[in-house]
Amino acid sequence: MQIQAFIFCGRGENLSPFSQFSADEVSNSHGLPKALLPVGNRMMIEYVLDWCNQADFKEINVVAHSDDIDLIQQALEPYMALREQQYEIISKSLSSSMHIHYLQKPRAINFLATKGHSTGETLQKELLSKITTDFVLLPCDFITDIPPQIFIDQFRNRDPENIALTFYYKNALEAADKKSIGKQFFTLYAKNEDSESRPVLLDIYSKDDVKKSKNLKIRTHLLWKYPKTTVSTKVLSAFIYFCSFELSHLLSIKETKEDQKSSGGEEEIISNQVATEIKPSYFRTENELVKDFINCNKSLGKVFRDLARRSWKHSTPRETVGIFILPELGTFVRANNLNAFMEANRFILKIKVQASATNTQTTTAGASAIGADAIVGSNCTILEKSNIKLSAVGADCKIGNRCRIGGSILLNGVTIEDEVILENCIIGPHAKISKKSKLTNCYVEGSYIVDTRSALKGETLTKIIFDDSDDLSDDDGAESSSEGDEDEYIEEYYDDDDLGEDLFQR
Amino acid sequence: MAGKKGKNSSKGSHGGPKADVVQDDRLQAIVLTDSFETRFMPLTSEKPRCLLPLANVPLIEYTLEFLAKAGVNEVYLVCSSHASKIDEYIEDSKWNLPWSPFKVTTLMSPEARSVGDAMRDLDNRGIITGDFILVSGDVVTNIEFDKVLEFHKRMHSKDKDHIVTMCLAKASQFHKTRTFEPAAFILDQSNNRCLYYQDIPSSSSKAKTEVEIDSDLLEDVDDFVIRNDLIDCRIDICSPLVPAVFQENFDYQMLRSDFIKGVLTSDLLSKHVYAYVTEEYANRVVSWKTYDTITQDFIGRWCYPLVLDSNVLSDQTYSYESGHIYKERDIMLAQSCKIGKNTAIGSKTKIGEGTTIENSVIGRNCQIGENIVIKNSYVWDNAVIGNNSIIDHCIVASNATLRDNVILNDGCIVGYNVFIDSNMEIPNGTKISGQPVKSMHAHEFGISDDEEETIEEQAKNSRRIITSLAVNLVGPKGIGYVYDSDISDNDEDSSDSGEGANALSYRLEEFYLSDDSISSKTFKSKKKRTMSTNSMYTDREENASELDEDEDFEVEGIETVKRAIENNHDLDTALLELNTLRMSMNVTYHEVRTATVIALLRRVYHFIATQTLAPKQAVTKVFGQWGLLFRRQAFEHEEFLDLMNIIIHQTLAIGFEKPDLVLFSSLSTLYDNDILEEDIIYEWWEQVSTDPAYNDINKLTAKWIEWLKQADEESSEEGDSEDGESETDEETDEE
Repeated sequence: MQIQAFIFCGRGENLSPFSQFSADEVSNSHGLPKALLPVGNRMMIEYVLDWCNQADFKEINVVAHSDDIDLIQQALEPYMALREQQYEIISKSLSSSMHIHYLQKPRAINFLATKGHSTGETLQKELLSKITTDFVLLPCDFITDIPPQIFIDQFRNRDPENIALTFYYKNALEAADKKSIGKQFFTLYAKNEDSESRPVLLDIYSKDDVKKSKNLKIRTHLLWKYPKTTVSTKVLSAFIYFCSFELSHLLSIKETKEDQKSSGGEEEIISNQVATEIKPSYFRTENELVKDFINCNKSLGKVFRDLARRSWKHSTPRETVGIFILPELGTFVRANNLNAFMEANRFILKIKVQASATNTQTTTAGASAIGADAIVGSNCTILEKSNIKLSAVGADCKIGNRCRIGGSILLNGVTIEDEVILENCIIGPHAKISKKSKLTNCYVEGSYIVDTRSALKGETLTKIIFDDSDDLSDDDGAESSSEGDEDEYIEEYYDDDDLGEDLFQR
Repeated sequence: MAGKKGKNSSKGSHGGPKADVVQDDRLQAIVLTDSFETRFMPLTSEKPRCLLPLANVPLIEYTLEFLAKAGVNEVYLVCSSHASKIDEYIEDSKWNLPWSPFKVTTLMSPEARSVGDAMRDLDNRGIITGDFILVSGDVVTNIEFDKVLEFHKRMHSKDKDHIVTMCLAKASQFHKTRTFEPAAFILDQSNNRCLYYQDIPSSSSKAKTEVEIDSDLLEDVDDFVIRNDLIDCRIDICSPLVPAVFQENFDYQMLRSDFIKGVLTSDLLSKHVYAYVTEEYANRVVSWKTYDTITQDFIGRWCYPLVLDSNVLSDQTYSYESGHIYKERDIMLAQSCKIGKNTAIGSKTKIGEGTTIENSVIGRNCQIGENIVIKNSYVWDNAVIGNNSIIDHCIVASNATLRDNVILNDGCIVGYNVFIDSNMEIPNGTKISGQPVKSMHAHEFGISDDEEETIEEQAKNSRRIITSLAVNLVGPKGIGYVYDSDISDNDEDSSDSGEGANALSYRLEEFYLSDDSISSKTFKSKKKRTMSTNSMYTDREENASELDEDEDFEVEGIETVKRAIENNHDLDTALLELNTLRMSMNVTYHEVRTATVIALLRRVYHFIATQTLAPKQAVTKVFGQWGLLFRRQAFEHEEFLDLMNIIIHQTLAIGFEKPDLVLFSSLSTLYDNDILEEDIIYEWWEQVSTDPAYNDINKLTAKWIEWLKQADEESSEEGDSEDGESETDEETDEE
C-alpha cells in the first residue's frame, strides 16, 4: 500500500491530570504521554499500530515531541519485539505452505522527533521532506473496529479534485453532561446527493464561538456554490486525514513562503509552476495567523479547515477536501478527553467479554469476584470479598477487603484500602485511596492520597492545588479553563483546540 | 372598506349546503390576487396581473385549477388593485357555474398595500374557520396537494406549535425563476422544520454577505440543511392563527421576510414552520423573466397534467402536435409559413406567407403578416403585425399594432393598444404603453412607509407630467408612451444583481429588483429628476453613506467642467457629460451643482491669480458663459436655494482675495442671465444674511440685494466694474 502513515502523539491536554499535560511542570507531572495511557491495559498507541499493521501502509511513522519520543520508543519496545516474534512464529508455521509469499515482514516503525509547536507546523516543516507519496495523518488515540480498508477504499475512490479526505464520526457518547462531551462544532459539508461528486467538507465552526458571536454566519457565496449545505453538530473529527501527494506541494510552497517571511519579510512570490496554483487569500489567512499567534502556526484541524474553505471562497474552482462520515455500524472512539477515554476502555472491555478470555495472573484471595468484563494487570493483589466490574486494573495494584470497583480505570501501582467504593473513576498511577472512601465520577491524579472516609462526587483531585489550570474544581474545570485561554486568539470564531488536538502546543 | 361580496349564483350551488354538513373538513383557500408589486408595469396599469394571459390563459386560472384539484371547498380572492375587473372575470368564469368544485368569493380589500394588510383585513372579517391554503394568484403548479396536506396534518399532530407549512419546489440554485429574491431556507434535517429564513443577494453579487443564524435557534438541533436550491412557490397551509399573528404584529408586511422570519425568530410566539419539499413543478410568475421561463415550461409540458391541450378555459380548442406545437381551431396558416417547436397559436389567427414562428405564443385573432420572424416572443390577442417585421424575445400585448418592417429588439414590451408605425426599430428593453401611465394607486407598490410612498407618488406624478408621445420610437403616426426610458441608469445596477443580458425585459427586473428597499426607490426618483423637497432630502441622507463615491464624483465632475471650459465645448456637450457622470456614479444634482460651482470658481481664481482679468470681469466672463449650466442642474425652488448656498460656501472655501466681490458678481451674473429669480434670492438672503459665518462675504451682496429690492430702473450703473470695487471699500469702511 503506497501510503505513508504518520501517527501524531500529543500530550493530551484534555486527559490531564493523567497525561503529561503542562510542559513547564514536567518535573511535577507524573502523567504519561497520551499515547502511552492504557486502554484496557494496553497502551493506546498499540491499537493504532495494530490498525496500521492491518492496513499495511508503506511505512509507519510515530511522530512525537522530542521530549516524549524516547519515552514512547522505549515503551513500545516490548510491542515491537512481540510483533517480530509473531512474524517469526507465523513464518515458521507457514514455511512449508504454498502461501508463504503472502506473508510480509511487518512494516518498519520509525520514530520521529519533532520540535514543532503545532501539528500543522510539524507537518509542514519537518515531515513534508519525508513525504514521497500519498500519506495519511493519524492520531494516537483512536480505537475502532472499522477496518482500515474502508478508509483506504474511500480515499482511493475520491473525486479527482479532492486533495485530502477527512473522516468524521458520529458522537456516540451519551450527552449526560453537555460539558463532558468536549467541544462541539458546526461542521458544514455538502452531501452532493444530487450530483456525481462525493461529499465535500466546507467549513467548521466551533459551537462556543458561535455562541459568543450570537450568530452562525455563513457566506452566501458558499450557498451559491453548494446550495444544499448540511450542517451537523453531531459529528466529530476523527483526525484521520488521507492526503494526496499534491497536498505536500501545496503545503511545501507555504513553507518556503513562510521561511521567507521569517527571514526578512520579503513579499516575493516564487514563480514556479506550483506557486501559481496557490491563491493569495490562502496565504492571507496564514499571514493573519502569524500575526496573532506567538507560536505562528496552527493545528492540522485548522489547516484542513482552511483547505476546505478554499473550495468555495474563490470564484474559480479549487481543490476540495472530501469528507466521509463513518457508518454508525462500527464503533469509533477517540480517547481525547476523560469521558471518551473511559468510553474507550469500556469498549475494549466489552470486546473482552465477548472473547471471554482471561489471562490474569493475579493473586486473588477467596470470595473476590472479578467480572468477565474486567481486566486486572500482573502482580496485583486483591483481598477478600472485593468486587471488580467493567474496570481495567493496571499492574502492581493492591486492592483491599470488601472493595467495590465499577466502571473504573486504575493505572499501575494503585493502592486501594479496605471498603472503598469506586464508580466511574480514573485513578492515576501510585495513588492511594484510603479506607472507606467512596468516590463517584472522580479523577485522581497519580501519587495522590485520598483521605479515609472521603465521599467525593465528580471531582478532580490533583496535587498542585493552586495551579491555574489544574484547579480542583469540577471534573472538567481543567479542560475548560485551559481552552478558555486559547479561545481569545482564534481567528474567525473557530477554535481548533480540541479538534486539532494541538499536540505540542503546551 | 368594501364589504364582503358573495356571488349570487353561488348560493344555489351545492358547495354551500355541502359545506354546512361537513363543517370541519371544509378546506378554505385564500388567493392573493395582488402581489403588491409593480413588476409587470406598464401592462398592469390596465389589467390586474392575475388576468395577464400566460400561454393564452389568464394567470389566475392556473391557481384556481390547482385549488380545484386540491379539493378546496371555498376560495376567497383577495383583490385590491383592479378589484372590479377580477370580480367581473370571476363572475363570468366557469368557477361561478353551479357545478364549480368550490365556492368563489371575491373580497375587496382596496386599502391593502401589502400581504400583511390583506391578512389583517382577513382577520377582521373572520372568515377563516380552520386550516387554510394561502396562495398567490400567480402560481403554476402540478403538485399533488394531498401529500402536502398529509404532511401538514402529520406535523400538526406531532407539534402543537406548528402554524405554517410552506411548499417549496426543488430546483438548482441557478434556476431561472430563482433570480428574484433568492432566499435560503434553513431546515432541520430530521423533520423539515424551518429554522430560519433569509433573503440572500443573487449569485453574481460582489458583496460579501452572510446568512446569520442566531445561535439560540440552533440550540437543540443536531443536523440541519441550509438550502439555496428551493423555489418558493408561495403555497402555504396556514393554521387559523396566522391572520391573528399578522394582526398582533401590525408591522408585518411581507409574507416571508416579515412574517416567516418574525415567527421563526420570535421567542414569544414559539411557533413552528415546516417546509414540504417537492420535486414536482411549482413556480410563480413574478416577473417578465419568470413569465418567459414558466411559459416555456408550460408549453414544454413540465407541469403535466396541467397542459395547454387540456383546454382549461371552456371555449378553448387546443390540440397537441409533436414538437410541442399547440393549435386551436380555425387558424389560417399560409402555405409557406413555418411553425417551429414550442409554439402555441390561438384560434382565428392569420399567419402570412414566409413567416417563421418558434418558441412563441400567439393569441387569438392576431393578424400576422408576411415574412415575419417571431422568436421567443408572446403575442397576445388581437395583435396586428405588419410584413417583414422581426420580433425577438418580446411581448406584444393585446390590440397592439405593428406596421410593416418593425424591429422589436430583445426585451421590448409593447403595451395594449400601442400603434407602431412602419420601419421603426425599438431598442433593447423598451417598454411602451398605449396611454401615459397614470398616477398609480398607492397600493400598487409594496411599500410600508408613508414617506416612501410620497416619494413614489411624486415620482409617478412627475412621470405623468414628462411623459409624452414617444414619436421617435413609435413613428409619426404611432401611439405609444415610453414607460421608463431611462435605460442607461440600469446598467450600474446590473453589476449588483446582474443576470444574463439576454433575458426578456431584463432591465425592467433590475429596476424593480428590490421593491422594499428604500435605496432603489429613491434612486428611481432621482432618475425622474423630480427634485421635490421630500425626495431631495431623502437622497442626501441616502448618499451620506456613499461618501467616497461622492468625492469621486466631485473630482470627476470638476474635471469635466474644467475640460469643457478649457476646450471651449458647447454647453450641451458639457451638460451631457455631466449628466452621464451623474448617472453612472449615482449622485444627486446637489453634487453636480457643487462640482460645477467649484470648477467655475477655480477658473475665476485662475484668471485673477494670473492677472488676466480683474475679479469682476473674470466672474462675469466665466459665470456669464458657463453659469447657464445651472439651468439644467436646478429646477425647483429648493434647488436654487441650494445652488446659492453652494456658491457662498465655495467662494469662502476657495480663498479669494475679495470673496465678497466674487460672490456678489457671481450672483448678479446669474441673476442677469435669468438663472436666479428675485424672489428666490430674497428668500435665500433671509436665511443667509443673519449667519455670522458669512459676515465677511456678505456686505456687497447685501448692498446689491437692497438695491434689487428698491428699484429696477437704475440698474445700469451698478453693472460697472470699477464702481463695484470702490463701493466694496466704502462699505467696509462704513461698517
